[in-house]
Amino acid sequence: MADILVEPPSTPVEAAVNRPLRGGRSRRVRTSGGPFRLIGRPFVWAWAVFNVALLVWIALQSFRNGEESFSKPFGLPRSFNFDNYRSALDVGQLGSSFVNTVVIAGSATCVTISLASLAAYVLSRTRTRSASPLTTFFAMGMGIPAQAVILPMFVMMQSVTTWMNDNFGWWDDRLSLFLVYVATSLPFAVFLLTAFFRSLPSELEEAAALDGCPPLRVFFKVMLPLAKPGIITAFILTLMGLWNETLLALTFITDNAQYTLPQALLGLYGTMQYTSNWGGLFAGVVIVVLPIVILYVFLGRRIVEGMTLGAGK
Amino acid sequence: MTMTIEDRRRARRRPRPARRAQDKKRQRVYWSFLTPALLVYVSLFIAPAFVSVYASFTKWRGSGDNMHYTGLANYRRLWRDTEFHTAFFNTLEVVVYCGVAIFVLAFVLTMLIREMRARKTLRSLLFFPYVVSPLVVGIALGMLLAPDGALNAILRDVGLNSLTGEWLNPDVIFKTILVSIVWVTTGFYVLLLMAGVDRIPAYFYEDSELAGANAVQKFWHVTLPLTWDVVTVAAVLWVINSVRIFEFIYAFVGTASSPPISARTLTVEQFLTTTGGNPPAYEMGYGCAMGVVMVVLIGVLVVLMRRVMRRDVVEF
Repeated sequence: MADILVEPPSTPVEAAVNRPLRGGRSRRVRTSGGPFRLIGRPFVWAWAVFNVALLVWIALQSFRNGEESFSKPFGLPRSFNFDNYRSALDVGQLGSSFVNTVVIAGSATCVTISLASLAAYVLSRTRTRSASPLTTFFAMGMGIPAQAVILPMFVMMQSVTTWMNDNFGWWDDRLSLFLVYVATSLPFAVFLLTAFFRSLPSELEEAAALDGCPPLRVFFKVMLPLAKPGIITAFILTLMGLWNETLLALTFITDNAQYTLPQALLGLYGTMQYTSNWGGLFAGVVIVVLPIVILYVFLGRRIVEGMTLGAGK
Repeated sequence: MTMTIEDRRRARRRPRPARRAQDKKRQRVYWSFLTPALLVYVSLFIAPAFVSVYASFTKWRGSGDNMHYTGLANYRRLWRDTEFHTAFFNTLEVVVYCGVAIFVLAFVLTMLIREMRARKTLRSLLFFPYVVSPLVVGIALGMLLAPDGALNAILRDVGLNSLTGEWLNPDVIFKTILVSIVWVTTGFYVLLLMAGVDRIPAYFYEDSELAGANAVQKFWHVTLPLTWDVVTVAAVLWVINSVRIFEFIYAFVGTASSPPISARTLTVEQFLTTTGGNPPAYEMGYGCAMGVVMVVLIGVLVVLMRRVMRRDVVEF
């Protein structure tokens, strides 16, 4: 089992990010020529342009009538009206599922990051025998795919539902999903934040402690402000992961009104195959992707740094 | 693992009594800070994992049904189940074929991009598909590659009728999926490799250039040995992440009432035999056995890869 682990404390990637650069950045003088570069450069540009073009294409199609999208895939929309969006929000129930996703993914992310930053702080800063094995124990979760735990989780949540219904007359599948999201997001968040806390200087913290500041205050007043960039990164990555999460939602949520965005989009995909309202589907895709695009445009650098620091989900 | 060199240096510098007092205080908060996360993690993640292992030895149809211990019956059934075989080898194909393609491409792209002017922008653009919902990418590609979709339309327009294809037919769809996975994922590994390549001091390249090395030689004698540790981590990550790819393939194959068996991977197959079918089959014991197979597969591949990739780390 131990070999599955990604060695949480100091992966080379993390070291690569934290280690001060010796000998300067490896950016070198541009030399021209060479068949490798001659073919390669246009290839890189073509790849990048394709990614952007696909996005633009989807955005344009979302304003067109579906029939046209197929007969002339590269035509421009005749007018920019929001009929497709309206149909996606009403027929596809993307409106209610948008709210569901915001609430479930948002609250699960908040709870995950709170729990994870508390744990990561003590794991990275306490000299106890159990700290290092426990860090590894958390990281182990990253090597276990959700598929390996999902069925007992599902049955467990079903019993919780029955028990709550019998005793209190109320339970919501979305709460089950929320709990499962927190549990499955924890390993990565703890891993990332432990790496981050470890990279922070300890002088300030020591000074505060010497001045008699109680540990809880040290954490909230000194460490949290210092760790803000890392916490924000962990927050964004967790939120983006949950925003896109589909398997757990498909398993735990069965009521249409409680669907999350990816589920509703899948539903829309299913109905559109019969009604051929492709414009509505494209609009749905835009609704799901747009928040991520906005996040990426504004916080891209942070996302990239977090990805290399934690070395991926 | 517990003490880095930096820690040791600090420990030596610090006056001992103060440190001890501080440590004692920290120890007191240690468990109270750790317990909430640990509790959630153990009860909602680790415990189900153990139940999963046990359930894989039983016949179990989910809540309300008792687990009937059947020994290795589920695993024997997996051994004979041809649908499962297809799924298993499809997953292996994703790991191996896509893995090789991704790492070769990622290295080529990294080497190219680091010499280009817009390196940061290009890197972000290549990485971008990775952050978009795999479901969305799957759906968008489905539309693009549909028989009367955009790709075939372009090919027809430029007169390459012979190249148009039924990209989503049951016999080709898995190849389409493999190519698409490479396209979506490569950007992420470019990101990781670039983090490694960026810390190679420039004079290594200057030296090798003075010695008349070409691009391939520079890659082989400078880049690869000096980024080997990053490559190892990236490879482990690839194994872990590739086995669990689900949404992306499901968007390609799953929405039809019976997705083609030829395009299912372990994750899709498990979903369809448990809660995902129409109507759901709820073969929980059998599904858990598939989950166990996935974890074992990841474990074996990671161990194997670490064996194969073990090198002395080059210090520089």
